Amino acid sequence: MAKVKLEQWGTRLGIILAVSGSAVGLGNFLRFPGQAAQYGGGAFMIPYFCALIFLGIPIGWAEWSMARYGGRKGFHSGPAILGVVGRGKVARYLGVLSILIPLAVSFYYTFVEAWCLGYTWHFLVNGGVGVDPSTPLATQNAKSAEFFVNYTGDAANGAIFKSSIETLVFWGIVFAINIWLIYRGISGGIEKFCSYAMPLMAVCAVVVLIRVLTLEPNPANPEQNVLNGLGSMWNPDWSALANPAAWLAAAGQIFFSLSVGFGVILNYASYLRKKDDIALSGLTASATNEVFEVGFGGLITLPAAFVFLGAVGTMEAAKTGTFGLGFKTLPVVFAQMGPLGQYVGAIFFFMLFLAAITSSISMYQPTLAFLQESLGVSRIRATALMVSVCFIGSACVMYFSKGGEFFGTIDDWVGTFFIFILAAVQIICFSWIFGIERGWRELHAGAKIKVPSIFKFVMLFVAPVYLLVVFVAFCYNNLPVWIGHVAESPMRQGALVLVAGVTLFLVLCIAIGEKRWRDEGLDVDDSQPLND
Amino acid sequence: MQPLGWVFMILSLAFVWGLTGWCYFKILTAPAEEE
Repeated sequence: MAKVKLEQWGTRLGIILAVSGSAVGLGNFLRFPGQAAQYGGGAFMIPYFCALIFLGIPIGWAEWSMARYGGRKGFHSGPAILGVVGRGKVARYLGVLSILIPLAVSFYYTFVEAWCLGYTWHFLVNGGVGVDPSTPLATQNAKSAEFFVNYTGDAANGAIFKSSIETLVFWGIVFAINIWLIYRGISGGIEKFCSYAMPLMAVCAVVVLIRVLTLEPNPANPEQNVLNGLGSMWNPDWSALANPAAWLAAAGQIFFSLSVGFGVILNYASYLRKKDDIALSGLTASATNEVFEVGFGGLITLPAAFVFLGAVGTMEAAKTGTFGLGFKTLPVVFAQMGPLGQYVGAIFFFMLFLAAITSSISMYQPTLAFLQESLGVSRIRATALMVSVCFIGSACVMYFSKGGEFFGTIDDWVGTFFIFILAAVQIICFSWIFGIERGWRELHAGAKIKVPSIFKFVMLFVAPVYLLVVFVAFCYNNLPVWIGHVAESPMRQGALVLVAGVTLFLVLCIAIGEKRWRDEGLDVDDSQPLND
Repeated sequence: MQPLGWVFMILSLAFVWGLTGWCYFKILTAPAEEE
Protein backbone atom coordinates (compact mmCIF):
# COMPACT_ATOMS: atom_id res chain seq x y z
CA MET A 1 0.00 0.00 0.00
CA ALA A 2 3.00 2.27 0.39
CA LYS A 3 3.04 3.19 -3.29
CA VAL A 4 -0.56 4.42 -3.12
CA LYS A 5 0.27 6.73 -0.25
CA LEU A 6 2.97 8.47 -2.27
CA GLU A 7 0.48 9.66 -4.88
CA GLN A 8 -0.28 13.38 -4.70
CA TRP A 9 -1.75 16.16 -6.83
CA GLY A 10 0.87 18.53 -8.22
CA THR A 11 -1.12 21.76 -8.03
CA ARG A 12 -4.33 23.18 -6.60
CA LEU A 13 -5.61 23.78 -10.11
CA GLY A 14 -4.71 20.22 -11.10
CA ILE A 15 -7.32 18.49 -8.98
CA ILE A 16 -9.96 21.09 -9.89
CA LEU A 17 -9.44 20.48 -13.61
CA ALA A 18 -9.36 16.71 -13.05
CA VAL A 19 -12.64 16.72 -11.10
CA SER A 20 -14.19 19.14 -13.62
CA GLY A 21 -12.98 16.87 -16.44
CA SER A 22 -14.60 13.93 -14.71
CA ALA A 23 -17.91 15.81 -14.49
CA VAL A 24 -17.98 17.31 -17.98
CA GLY A 25 -19.14 14.62 -20.38
CA LEU A 26 -21.43 14.06 -23.34
CA GLY A 27 -24.47 14.91 -21.21
CA ASN A 28 -23.34 18.52 -20.86
CA PHE A 29 -23.60 19.14 -24.59
CA LEU A 30 -26.28 16.66 -25.62
CA ARG A 31 -28.51 15.70 -22.68
CA PHE A 32 -28.89 19.06 -20.91
CA PRO A 33 -30.28 21.04 -23.88
CA GLY A 34 -32.76 18.26 -24.66
CA GLN A 35 -33.99 18.14 -21.07
CA ALA A 36 -34.32 21.93 -20.87
CA ALA A 37 -36.24 22.18 -24.14
CA GLN A 38 -38.63 19.40 -23.10
CA TYR A 39 -39.29 20.70 -19.58
CA GLY A 40 -40.04 24.38 -19.82
CA GLY A 41 -37.08 26.01 -21.60
CA GLY A 42 -35.90 28.97 -19.49
CA ALA A 43 -38.31 27.98 -16.70
CA PHE A 44 -36.39 24.67 -16.40
CA MET A 45 -33.49 26.68 -15.02
CA ILE A 46 -35.42 27.35 -11.78
CA PRO A 47 -35.61 23.69 -10.67
CA TYR A 48 -32.19 23.16 -12.23
CA PHE A 49 -30.41 25.79 -10.14
CA CYS A 50 -32.39 24.74 -7.03
CA ALA A 51 -31.03 21.22 -7.50
CA LEU A 52 -27.52 22.58 -8.03
CA ILE A 53 -27.56 24.62 -4.83
CA PHE A 54 -29.46 22.24 -2.53
CA LEU A 55 -28.35 18.86 -3.86
CA GLY A 56 -25.33 18.89 -6.15
CA ILE A 57 -22.95 21.30 -4.45
CA PRO A 58 -23.64 20.18 -0.82
CA ILE A 59 -23.26 16.45 -1.60
CA GLY A 60 -20.13 17.31 -3.54
CA TRP A 61 -18.69 19.12 -0.52
CA ALA A 62 -19.53 16.11 1.67
CA GLU A 63 -17.73 13.83 -0.76
CA TRP A 64 -14.60 16.04 -0.89
CA SER A 65 -14.52 16.25 2.94
CA MET A 66 -14.94 12.51 3.50
CA ALA A 67 -12.29 11.72 0.91
CA ARG A 68 -9.64 14.00 2.38
CA TYR A 69 -10.39 12.73 5.89
CA GLY A 70 -10.10 9.11 4.71
CA GLY A 71 -6.91 9.94 2.85
CA ARG A 72 -5.38 11.32 6.03
CA LYS A 73 -6.18 7.97 7.67
CA GLY A 74 -4.19 6.27 4.90
CA PHE A 75 -7.06 5.20 2.62
CA HIS A 76 -7.70 6.10 -1.02
CA SER A 77 -10.60 3.87 -2.02
CA GLY A 78 -14.31 4.44 -1.57
CA PRO A 79 -15.06 1.31 0.51
CA ALA A 80 -12.26 2.03 2.98
CA ILE A 81 -13.11 5.74 3.22
CA LEU A 82 -16.83 5.10 3.73
CA GLY A 83 -15.92 2.44 6.30
CA VAL A 84 -13.98 5.10 8.21
CA VAL A 85 -16.57 7.87 7.90
CA GLY A 86 -19.52 5.50 8.34
CA ARG A 87 -17.69 3.68 11.15
CA GLY A 88 -18.19 0.05 10.27
CA LYS A 89 -18.81 -2.84 7.95
CA VAL A 90 -22.19 -1.72 6.61
CA ALA A 91 -20.84 1.53 5.16
CA ARG A 92 -17.63 -0.22 4.05
CA TYR A 93 -19.48 -2.89 2.07
CA LEU A 94 -22.02 -0.39 0.68
CA GLY A 95 -18.91 1.45 -0.48
CA VAL A 96 -18.49 -1.29 -3.08
CA LEU A 97 -20.76 0.93 -5.19
CA SER A 98 -18.06 3.61 -5.28
CA ILE A 99 -15.89 1.17 -7.27
CA LEU A 100 -18.61 -0.72 -9.12
CA ILE A 101 -20.22 2.42 -10.57
CA PRO A 102 -17.16 3.91 -12.29
CA LEU A 103 -15.83 0.46 -13.28
CA ALA A 104 -19.06 -0.84 -14.84
CA VAL A 105 -19.83 2.50 -16.50
CA SER A 106 -16.34 2.43 -18.05
CA PHE A 107 -17.32 -0.82 -19.84
CA TYR A 108 -19.57 1.15 -22.20
CA TYR A 109 -18.17 4.64 -21.79
CA THR A 110 -14.94 3.86 -23.65
CA PHE A 111 -17.08 2.33 -26.41
CA VAL A 112 -18.98 5.61 -26.78
CA GLU A 113 -15.68 7.46 -26.55
CA ALA A 114 -14.49 5.42 -29.53
CA TRP A 115 -17.54 6.60 -31.52
CA CYS A 116 -16.58 10.22 -30.76
CA LEU A 117 -13.04 9.69 -32.01
CA GLY A 118 -14.32 7.73 -35.01
CA TYR A 119 -16.80 10.46 -35.95
CA THR A 120 -14.01 13.05 -35.61
CA TRP A 121 -11.92 10.99 -38.02
CA HIS A 122 -14.79 10.65 -40.52
CA PHE A 123 -15.57 14.37 -40.51
CA LEU A 124 -11.90 15.27 -40.88
CA VAL A 125 -10.99 12.72 -43.54
CA ASN A 126 -14.25 11.84 -45.32
CA GLY A 127 -16.12 15.12 -44.86
CA GLY A 128 -18.79 13.55 -42.67
CA VAL A 129 -20.79 10.35 -42.38
CA GLY A 130 -21.96 10.17 -45.98
CA VAL A 131 -24.94 12.54 -45.69
CA ASP A 132 -25.67 14.37 -48.96
CA PRO A 133 -27.16 17.82 -48.14
CA SER A 134 -28.77 18.06 -51.59
CA THR A 135 -31.11 15.14 -50.87
CA PRO A 136 -34.42 15.46 -48.98
CA LEU A 137 -34.11 15.83 -45.22
CA ALA A 138 -35.72 12.43 -44.58
CA THR A 139 -33.07 10.79 -46.77
CA GLN A 140 -30.29 12.60 -44.90
CA ASN A 141 -31.70 11.50 -41.54
CA ALA A 142 -31.98 7.91 -42.79
CA LYS A 143 -28.39 7.97 -44.07
CA SER A 144 -27.07 9.35 -40.79
CA ALA A 145 -29.05 6.77 -38.79
CA GLU A 146 -27.77 3.98 -41.05
CA PHE A 147 -24.17 5.06 -40.48
CA PHE A 148 -24.76 5.12 -36.71
CA VAL A 149 -26.35 1.67 -36.71
CA ASN A 150 -23.47 0.17 -38.69
CA TYR A 151 -20.79 1.98 -36.74
CA THR A 152 -22.08 1.01 -33.30
CA GLY A 153 -23.29 -2.51 -34.11
CA ASP A 154 -26.82 -1.47 -33.21
CA ALA A 155 -28.39 -3.81 -35.77
CA ALA A 156 -27.25 -7.19 -34.45
CA ASN A 157 -25.08 -8.80 -31.81
CA GLY A 158 -21.51 -9.20 -32.96
CA ALA A 159 -22.11 -6.85 -35.90
CA ILE A 160 -19.06 -4.65 -35.32
CA PHE A 161 -16.81 -7.73 -35.17
CA LYS A 162 -17.95 -8.61 -38.70
CA SER A 163 -18.59 -5.33 -40.47
CA SER A 164 -17.06 -2.45 -38.52
CA ILE A 165 -13.58 -3.37 -37.47
CA GLU A 166 -12.81 0.36 -37.54
CA THR A 167 -14.92 0.86 -34.39
CA LEU A 168 -12.86 -1.82 -32.64
CA VAL A 169 -9.63 -0.15 -33.74
CA PHE A 170 -10.77 3.19 -32.31
CA TRP A 171 -11.87 1.43 -29.12
CA GLY A 172 -8.40 -0.15 -28.86
CA ILE A 173 -6.79 3.27 -29.28
CA VAL A 174 -8.91 5.04 -26.65
CA PHE A 175 -8.62 2.12 -24.20
CA ALA A 176 -4.83 2.10 -24.57
CA ILE A 177 -4.65 5.89 -24.05
CA ASN A 178 -6.80 5.61 -20.95
CA ILE A 179 -4.71 2.85 -19.41
CA TRP A 180 -1.45 4.61 -20.24
CA LEU A 181 -2.64 7.83 -18.58
CA ILE A 182 -3.85 5.98 -15.51
CA TYR A 183 -0.65 4.00 -15.22
CA ARG A 184 1.34 7.25 -15.25
CA GLY A 185 -0.35 8.19 -12.01
CA ILE A 186 -2.36 10.99 -10.46
CA SER A 187 0.03 13.87 -11.11
CA GLY A 188 2.00 12.61 -14.11
CA GLY A 189 -0.99 11.16 -15.96
CA ILE A 190 -4.44 12.42 -15.00
CA GLU A 191 -3.50 15.91 -13.83
CA LYS A 192 -1.14 16.62 -16.68
CA PHE A 193 -3.60 15.40 -19.30
CA CYS A 194 -6.56 17.33 -17.86
CA SER A 195 -4.51 20.51 -17.61
CA TYR A 196 -4.22 20.43 -21.44
CA ALA A 197 -7.49 18.72 -22.34
CA MET A 198 -9.83 21.03 -20.40
CA PRO A 199 -8.59 24.31 -21.91
CA LEU A 200 -8.51 22.63 -25.35
CA MET A 201 -12.11 21.49 -24.86
CA ALA A 202 -13.08 25.09 -24.00
CA VAL A 203 -11.35 26.36 -27.16
CA CYS A 204 -13.22 23.78 -29.28
CA ALA A 205 -16.51 24.81 -27.62
CA VAL A 206 -15.85 28.50 -28.34
CA VAL A 207 -15.06 27.78 -32.02
CA VAL A 208 -18.25 25.73 -32.48
CA LEU A 209 -20.30 28.32 -30.56
CA ILE A 210 -19.06 31.17 -32.77
CA ARG A 211 -19.97 29.18 -35.89
CA VAL A 212 -23.43 28.34 -34.56
CA LEU A 213 -24.21 31.91 -33.50
CA THR A 214 -23.21 33.24 -36.92
CA LEU A 215 -25.29 30.77 -38.95
CA GLU A 216 -27.37 32.44 -41.66
CA PRO A 217 -31.03 31.40 -41.89
CA ASN A 218 -32.21 29.50 -44.94
CA PRO A 219 -33.87 32.14 -47.23
CA ALA A 220 -36.72 29.69 -47.85
CA ASN A 221 -37.40 29.49 -44.08
CA PRO A 222 -36.34 32.86 -42.59
CA GLU A 223 -38.03 32.06 -39.26
CA GLN A 224 -35.51 29.23 -38.82
CA ASN A 225 -32.77 31.51 -37.50
CA VAL A 226 -30.37 31.40 -34.58
CA LEU A 227 -32.42 33.76 -32.40
CA ASN A 228 -35.49 31.58 -32.70
CA GLY A 229 -33.22 28.59 -32.09
CA LEU A 230 -32.11 30.17 -28.84
CA GLY A 231 -35.78 30.82 -28.15
CA SER A 232 -36.53 27.09 -28.50
CA MET A 233 -34.04 26.52 -25.71
CA TRP A 234 -34.66 29.52 -23.45
CA ASN A 235 -38.26 30.82 -23.86
CA PRO A 236 -39.94 29.93 -20.55
CA ASP A 237 -42.99 27.72 -20.36
CA TRP A 238 -44.29 28.41 -16.87
CA SER A 239 -46.67 25.46 -16.88
CA ALA A 240 -43.64 23.15 -16.68
CA LEU A 241 -43.00 24.31 -13.10
CA ALA A 242 -46.23 22.63 -12.02
CA ASN A 243 -45.10 19.38 -13.60
CA PRO A 244 -43.22 17.14 -11.09
CA ALA A 245 -41.42 15.49 -14.03
CA ALA A 246 -39.62 18.79 -14.74
CA TRP A 247 -38.29 18.96 -11.16
CA LEU A 248 -37.26 15.32 -11.35
CA ALA A 249 -35.52 15.86 -14.70
CA ALA A 250 -33.68 18.92 -13.34
CA ALA A 251 -32.49 17.09 -10.24
CA GLY A 252 -31.45 14.09 -12.33
CA GLN A 253 -29.54 16.27 -14.76
CA ILE A 254 -27.62 18.07 -11.98
CA PHE A 255 -26.97 14.85 -10.19
CA PHE A 256 -25.51 12.93 -13.11
CA SER A 257 -23.75 15.93 -14.59
CA LEU A 258 -21.76 16.83 -11.48
CA SER A 259 -20.55 13.23 -10.94
CA VAL A 260 -21.66 13.31 -7.31
CA GLY A 261 -22.40 9.83 -6.01
CA PHE A 262 -20.12 8.40 -8.66
CA GLY A 263 -17.18 7.42 -6.46
CA VAL A 264 -14.62 9.50 -8.34
CA ILE A 265 -14.30 12.44 -5.92
CA LEU A 266 -13.91 9.95 -3.04
CA ASN A 267 -10.70 8.78 -4.69
CA TYR A 268 -9.41 12.03 -6.22
CA ALA A 269 -9.78 14.17 -3.08
CA SER A 270 -8.21 11.49 -0.87
CA TYR A 271 -4.79 12.54 -2.17
CA LEU A 272 -5.16 16.03 -0.66
CA ARG A 273 -3.42 17.10 2.52
CA LYS A 274 -5.09 18.60 5.61
CA LYS A 275 -4.04 22.13 4.71
CA ASP A 276 -5.32 21.85 1.13
CA ASP A 277 -8.51 23.72 0.38
CA ILE A 278 -11.57 21.66 -0.48
CA ALA A 279 -14.47 24.11 -0.02
CA LEU A 280 -13.44 26.45 -2.85
CA SER A 281 -12.04 23.60 -4.96
CA GLY A 282 -15.32 21.68 -4.80
CA LEU A 283 -17.31 24.78 -5.70
CA THR A 284 -14.94 25.63 -8.57
CA ALA A 285 -15.16 22.13 -10.04
CA SER A 286 -18.98 22.31 -9.96
CA ALA A 287 -18.98 25.82 -11.46
CA THR A 288 -16.65 24.73 -14.27
CA ASN A 289 -19.03 21.91 -15.11
CA GLU A 290 -21.90 24.43 -15.24
CA VAL A 291 -20.02 26.65 -17.69
CA PHE A 292 -19.69 23.73 -20.10
CA GLU A 293 -23.29 22.67 -19.55
CA VAL A 294 -25.23 25.96 -19.45
CA GLY A 295 -22.68 28.29 -21.02
CA PHE A 296 -21.85 26.09 -24.01
CA GLY A 297 -24.34 23.21 -24.10
CA GLY A 298 -27.25 25.64 -23.72
CA LEU A 299 -26.14 27.73 -26.68
CA ILE A 300 -24.75 25.27 -29.22
CA THR A 301 -26.76 22.12 -29.79
CA LEU A 302 -30.41 23.13 -30.12
CA PRO A 303 -29.90 26.47 -31.94
CA ALA A 304 -27.73 24.67 -34.52
CA ALA A 305 -30.38 21.99 -35.03
CA PHE A 306 -33.17 24.59 -35.16
CA VAL A 307 -31.64 26.54 -38.06
CA PHE A 308 -31.64 23.47 -40.30
CA LEU A 309 -34.41 21.29 -38.90
CA GLY A 310 -36.96 23.84 -37.66
CA ALA A 311 -38.98 23.80 -34.44
CA VAL A 312 -40.66 20.42 -34.93
CA GLY A 313 -37.49 18.65 -36.10
CA THR A 314 -35.49 20.08 -33.20
CA MET A 315 -37.99 18.96 -30.56
CA GLU A 316 -38.15 15.50 -32.11
CA ALA A 317 -34.34 15.32 -32.10
CA ALA A 318 -34.20 16.49 -28.47
CA LYS A 319 -36.48 13.62 -27.48
CA THR A 320 -34.16 11.04 -29.04
CA GLY A 321 -31.76 11.53 -26.14
CA THR A 322 -28.01 11.88 -25.99
CA PHE A 323 -27.09 9.41 -28.72
CA GLY A 324 -29.93 10.29 -31.10
CA LEU A 325 -29.25 14.01 -30.92
CA GLY A 326 -25.48 13.71 -30.99
CA PHE A 327 -24.77 10.89 -33.40
CA LYS A 328 -27.80 10.87 -35.72
CA THR A 329 -29.16 14.44 -35.87
CA LEU A 330 -26.06 16.62 -35.57
CA PRO A 331 -24.18 14.93 -38.46
CA VAL A 332 -27.11 16.01 -40.66
CA VAL A 333 -26.84 19.56 -39.28
CA PHE A 334 -23.10 19.72 -39.95
CA ALA A 335 -23.61 18.38 -43.48
CA GLN A 336 -25.85 21.38 -44.19
CA MET A 337 -23.40 23.96 -42.91
CA GLY A 338 -21.57 24.15 -46.21
CA PRO A 339 -17.83 23.68 -46.78
CA LEU A 340 -16.94 24.57 -43.19
CA GLY A 341 -19.44 22.06 -41.79
CA GLN A 342 -16.90 19.27 -42.16
CA TYR A 343 -14.44 21.05 -39.87
CA VAL A 344 -17.08 22.28 -37.43
CA GLY A 345 -18.28 18.67 -37.16
CA ALA A 346 -14.74 17.41 -36.62
CA ILE A 347 -14.11 20.00 -33.89
CA PHE A 348 -17.46 19.23 -32.25
CA PHE A 349 -16.85 15.48 -32.09
CA PHE A 350 -13.26 16.02 -30.96
CA MET A 351 -14.67 18.20 -28.16
CA LEU A 352 -17.01 15.32 -27.23
CA PHE A 353 -14.02 12.96 -27.31
CA LEU A 354 -12.10 15.20 -24.88
CA ALA A 355 -15.18 15.44 -22.64
CA ALA A 356 -15.44 11.65 -22.72
CA ILE A 357 -11.78 10.80 -22.10
CA THR A 358 -11.39 13.21 -19.17
CA SER A 359 -14.39 11.38 -17.68
CA SER A 360 -13.25 7.85 -18.50
CA ILE A 361 -9.80 8.21 -16.93
CA SER A 362 -11.58 9.21 -13.74
CA MET A 363 -13.52 5.93 -13.90
CA TYR A 364 -10.41 3.76 -13.95
CA GLN A 365 -8.41 5.50 -11.24
CA PRO A 366 -10.74 4.55 -8.29
CA THR A 367 -10.57 0.87 -9.29
CA LEU A 368 -6.81 0.94 -9.65
CA ALA A 369 -6.33 2.56 -6.24
CA PHE A 370 -8.80 0.11 -4.70
CA LEU A 371 -7.05 -2.97 -6.09
CA GLN A 372 -3.66 -1.73 -4.90
CA GLU A 373 -5.03 -0.86 -1.49
CA SER A 374 -7.15 -3.95 -0.88
CA LEU A 375 -4.89 -6.63 -2.38
CA GLY A 376 -1.58 -4.93 -1.54
CA VAL A 377 -0.25 -5.38 -5.06
CA SER A 378 2.01 -3.10 -7.10
CA ARG A 379 0.61 -0.52 -9.52
CA ILE A 380 1.56 -2.63 -12.53
CA ARG A 381 -0.14 -5.77 -11.15
CA ALA A 382 -3.24 -3.77 -10.19
CA THR A 383 -3.29 -2.24 -13.69
CA ALA A 384 -3.04 -5.71 -15.28
CA LEU A 385 -5.91 -6.99 -13.13
CA MET A 386 -8.07 -3.96 -13.87
CA VAL A 387 -7.36 -4.16 -17.60
CA SER A 388 -8.43 -7.84 -17.57
CA VAL A 389 -11.74 -7.03 -15.88
CA CYS A 390 -12.37 -4.02 -18.14
CA PHE A 391 -11.48 -6.01 -21.22
CA ILE A 392 -14.05 -8.69 -20.39
CA GLY A 393 -16.71 -6.10 -19.57
CA SER A 394 -16.06 -3.99 -22.66
CA ALA A 395 -15.92 -7.05 -24.92
CA CYS A 396 -19.38 -8.08 -23.68
CA VAL A 397 -20.71 -4.56 -24.29
CA MET A 398 -19.26 -4.44 -27.80
CA TYR A 399 -20.40 -7.93 -28.76
CA PHE A 400 -23.95 -7.69 -27.35
CA SER A 401 -24.56 -4.43 -29.18
CA LYS A 402 -28.03 -5.00 -30.62
CA GLY A 403 -30.32 -2.10 -29.86
CA GLY A 404 -27.94 -0.86 -27.16
CA GLU A 405 -29.86 -3.10 -24.72
CA PHE A 406 -26.85 -4.59 -22.98
CA PHE A 407 -25.08 -1.36 -22.13
CA GLY A 408 -28.42 0.41 -21.67
CA THR A 409 -29.16 -2.02 -18.84
CA ILE A 410 -25.81 -1.31 -17.17
CA ASP A 411 -26.47 2.42 -17.61
CA ASP A 412 -29.96 2.13 -16.09
CA TRP A 413 -29.05 0.08 -13.03
CA VAL A 414 -25.43 1.00 -12.32
CA GLY A 415 -25.03 4.40 -13.99
CA THR A 416 -28.34 5.72 -12.69
CA PHE A 417 -30.03 3.69 -9.93
CA PHE A 418 -26.90 2.87 -7.92
CA ILE A 419 -25.73 6.49 -8.10
CA PHE A 420 -28.78 7.53 -6.08
CA ILE A 421 -28.00 4.83 -3.51
CA LEU A 422 -24.33 5.80 -3.20
CA ALA A 423 -25.16 9.51 -2.90
CA ALA A 424 -27.66 8.69 -0.14
CA VAL A 425 -25.09 6.53 1.67
CA GLN A 426 -22.54 9.34 1.42
CA ILE A 427 -24.71 12.18 2.68
CA ILE A 428 -26.05 10.03 5.56
CA CYS A 429 -22.54 8.91 6.53
CA PHE A 430 -21.27 12.48 6.41
CA SER A 431 -24.10 14.36 8.11
CA TRP A 432 -25.50 11.78 10.50
CA ILE A 433 -22.78 9.22 11.35
CA PHE A 434 -19.56 11.21 11.03
CA GLY A 435 -21.53 14.17 12.39
CA ILE A 436 -22.29 17.48 10.75
CA GLU A 437 -20.15 19.46 13.24
CA ARG A 438 -17.06 17.32 12.57
CA GLY A 439 -17.86 17.33 8.88
CA TRP A 440 -18.18 21.11 8.91
CA ARG A 441 -14.78 21.46 10.60
CA GLU A 442 -13.25 19.06 8.07
CA LEU A 443 -14.76 21.04 5.17
CA HIS A 444 -13.27 24.27 6.52
CA ALA A 445 -9.79 22.96 7.38
CA GLY A 446 -7.50 24.85 4.99
CA ALA A 447 -10.52 26.38 3.24
CA LYS A 448 -10.09 29.49 1.11
CA ILE A 449 -13.75 30.44 1.55
CA LYS A 450 -16.26 30.31 4.39
CA VAL A 451 -19.28 28.27 3.39
CA PRO A 452 -22.51 29.98 4.64
CA SER A 453 -23.81 28.26 7.79
CA ILE A 454 -27.18 27.63 6.15
CA PHE A 455 -25.49 24.79 4.26
CA LYS A 456 -25.09 22.93 7.55
CA PHE A 457 -28.89 22.72 7.64
CA VAL A 458 -28.97 21.88 3.94
CA MET A 459 -26.52 18.99 4.36
CA LEU A 460 -28.27 17.69 7.45
CA PHE A 461 -31.89 17.86 6.30
CA VAL A 462 -32.56 19.41 2.90
CA ALA A 463 -30.18 17.35 0.74
CA PRO A 464 -31.16 13.95 2.24
CA VAL A 465 -34.89 14.71 2.00
CA TYR A 466 -34.54 16.22 -1.49
CA LEU A 467 -32.59 13.13 -2.53
CA LEU A 468 -35.16 10.79 -1.00
CA VAL A 469 -38.06 12.50 -2.76
CA VAL A 470 -36.27 12.49 -6.10
CA PHE A 471 -35.26 8.84 -5.62
CA VAL A 472 -38.77 7.68 -4.75
CA ALA A 473 -40.25 9.56 -7.71
CA PHE A 474 -37.51 8.18 -9.94
CA CYS A 475 -38.18 4.60 -8.81
CA TYR A 476 -41.95 5.07 -9.21
CA ASN A 477 -41.47 6.29 -12.77
CA ASN A 478 -38.79 3.86 -13.93
CA LEU A 479 -38.42 0.69 -11.88
CA PRO A 480 -41.57 -1.16 -13.03
CA VAL A 481 -40.57 -0.57 -16.67
CA TRP A 482 -36.95 -1.55 -16.10
CA ILE A 483 -37.87 -4.72 -14.22
CA GLY A 484 -40.28 -5.62 -17.03
CA HIS A 485 -37.55 -5.12 -19.60
CA VAL A 486 -35.13 -7.34 -17.69
CA ALA A 487 -37.74 -10.08 -17.29
CA GLU A 488 -38.35 -10.11 -21.05
CA SER A 489 -34.80 -9.90 -22.35
CA PRO A 490 -32.05 -12.53 -21.86
CA MET A 491 -29.53 -9.92 -23.02
CA ARG A 492 -30.54 -7.56 -20.21
CA GLN A 493 -30.36 -10.47 -17.77
CA GLY A 494 -26.85 -11.19 -19.05
CA ALA A 495 -25.85 -7.58 -18.39
CA LEU A 496 -27.03 -7.90 -14.79
CA VAL A 497 -25.16 -11.20 -14.40
CA LEU A 498 -21.99 -9.39 -15.51
CA VAL A 499 -22.65 -6.63 -12.96
CA ALA A 500 -23.30 -9.22 -10.25
CA GLY A 501 -20.06 -11.03 -11.09
CA VAL A 502 -18.04 -7.82 -10.89
CA THR A 503 -19.75 -6.90 -7.62
CA LEU A 504 -18.86 -10.26 -6.12
CA PHE A 505 -15.23 -9.83 -7.13
CA LEU A 506 -15.11 -6.36 -5.57
CA VAL A 507 -16.78 -7.53 -2.35
CA LEU A 508 -14.17 -10.27 -2.08
CA CYS A 509 -11.44 -7.64 -2.48
CA ILE A 510 -13.01 -5.57 0.31
CA ALA A 511 -12.97 -8.60 2.62
CA ILE A 512 -9.30 -9.26 1.82
CA GLY A 513 -8.51 -5.58 2.19
CA GLU A 514 -10.22 -5.24 5.56
CA LYS A 515 -8.16 -8.08 6.98
CA ARG A 516 -4.96 -6.57 5.58
CA TRP A 517 -5.77 -3.08 6.88
CA ARG A 518 -6.49 -4.40 10.37
CA ASP A 519 -3.28 -6.45 10.34
CA GLU A 520 -1.37 -3.31 9.38
CA GLY A 521 -2.92 -1.45 12.32
CA LEU A 522 -4.87 1.04 10.21
CA ASP A 523 -7.89 2.70 11.83
CA VAL A 524 -10.55 1.09 9.63
CA ASP A 525 -13.51 2.07 11.84
CA ASP A 526 -12.36 5.57 12.83
CA SER A 527 -11.96 4.60 16.47
CA GLN A 528 -8.94 6.84 17.08
CA PRO A 529 -8.47 10.61 16.56
CA LEU A 530 -6.32 11.82 13.70
CA ASN A 531 -2.85 12.89 14.74
CA ASP A 532 -1.57 14.52 11.54
CA MET B 1 -36.81 34.70 -28.87
CA GLN B 2 -39.16 36.28 -26.36
CA PRO B 3 -38.02 39.00 -23.92
CA LEU B 4 -38.35 36.54 -21.01
CA GLY B 5 -36.23 34.06 -22.95
CA TRP B 6 -33.49 36.70 -23.10
CA VAL B 7 -33.87 37.33 -19.37
CA PHE B 8 -33.52 33.64 -18.49
CA MET B 9 -30.61 33.14 -20.84
CA ILE B 10 -28.67 36.20 -19.67
CA LEU B 11 -29.31 35.54 -15.98
CA SER B 12 -28.30 31.88 -16.31
CA LEU B 13 -25.16 32.68 -18.26
CA ALA B 14 -24.25 35.52 -15.90
CA PHE B 15 -24.69 33.19 -12.91
CA VAL B 16 -22.52 30.34 -14.19
CA TRP B 17 -19.84 32.56 -15.76
CA GLY B 18 -19.84 34.93 -12.77
CA LEU B 19 -19.56 32.10 -10.25
CA THR B 20 -16.82 30.38 -12.24
CA GLY B 21 -14.88 33.61 -12.75
CA TRP B 22 -15.09 34.44 -9.05
CA CYS B 23 -13.96 30.91 -8.09
CA TYR B 24 -10.94 30.95 -10.39
CA PHE B 25 -10.04 34.47 -9.27
CA LYS B 26 -10.02 33.26 -5.65
CA ILE B 27 -8.04 30.13 -6.57
CA LEU B 28 -5.42 31.93 -8.59
CA THR B 29 -4.93 34.84 -6.19
CA ALA B 30 -4.90 32.77 -2.97
CA PRO B 31 -1.45 32.43 -1.38
CA ALA B 32 0.23 29.10 -2.05
CA GLU B 33 0.02 26.50 0.72
CA GLU B 34 3.13 25.92 2.80
CA GLU B 35 4.92 22.65 2.19
